[in-house]
Amino acid sequence: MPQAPEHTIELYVHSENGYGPDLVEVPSDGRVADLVSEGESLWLEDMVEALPADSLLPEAGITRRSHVYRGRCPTVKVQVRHAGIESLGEFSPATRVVQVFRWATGPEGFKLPGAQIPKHGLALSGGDELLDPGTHVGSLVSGTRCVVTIDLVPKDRFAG
Amino acid sequence: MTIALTASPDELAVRAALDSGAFQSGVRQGRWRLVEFDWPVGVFAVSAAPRVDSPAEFGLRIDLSGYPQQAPTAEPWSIDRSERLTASERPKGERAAHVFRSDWEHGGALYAPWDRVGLTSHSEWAGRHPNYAWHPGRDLAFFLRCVYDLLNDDDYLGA
Repeated sequence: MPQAPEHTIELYVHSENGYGPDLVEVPSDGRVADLVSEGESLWLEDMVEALPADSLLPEAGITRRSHVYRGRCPTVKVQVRHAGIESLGEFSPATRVVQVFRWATGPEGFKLPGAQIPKHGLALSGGDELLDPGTHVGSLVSGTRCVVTIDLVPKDRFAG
Repeated sequence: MTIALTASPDELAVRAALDSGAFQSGVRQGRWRLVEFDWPVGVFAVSAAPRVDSPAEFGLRIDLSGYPQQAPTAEPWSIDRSERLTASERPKGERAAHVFRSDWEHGGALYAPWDRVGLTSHSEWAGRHPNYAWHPGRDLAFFLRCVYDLLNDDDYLGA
């Protein structure tokens, strides 16, 4: 039996309004423009270029359960602090935190020894949790500035 | 998910958390799954990094009563046998073994500040480990993410 065409698809939509994505159901033949408000653009996860607003979702590479980022910052300036030193990078807002972590611990960042890398994580400055590697950096911005400050911190051991 | 008409606020909050994008995204990514749910207890499986002769996932029997005002508390759980994991079945490795220790509270909770029993028995943890301590602003995905991180760390050595 041929399967009926899917008329809607579920997408994970990341935005400036929270760390976790929203699970959103949209028409499968919709356009990118249907997913954004005025002044916003849409990116596929980890992609640098925003998607053309007039593209149909399948043309834009958006399929069932794709992760996309919706927001107004074309790029996000990421300031990472570690041991009193700062390192500055610029990323697409759809970049996952795990990519920022690789950059921050690698040769362009703080050059952590290999054994030390898994013992560290990223935490939003002034926040209260280690960031989920799947969070998009665009979800960390607040206010009107497309800037975020993150601390590279050792993972805790619990004793007492 | 069907919601009982008489559901309490904590049960409603848990059911909303199970439907949330953060939880479902973790399911989709293979990080964790819900095995069974009988309020106030859910049995979850959390995926672990591949290690020789080790399981692909570990079970947690999580008591969610009082959620999110109270932290969940998780008993390391054999999904096959429906009983607490023995000491030899628990994750090994510097961080994982410490959290899954069997020589504390009879091995019936996680030795971590995101676990209700761990947090209430260590009043200093909330201040000492703010990135890990439970508070009512946390959600179920945070709890599971903390465990997933342990089981996918380079220092996790299998079971």
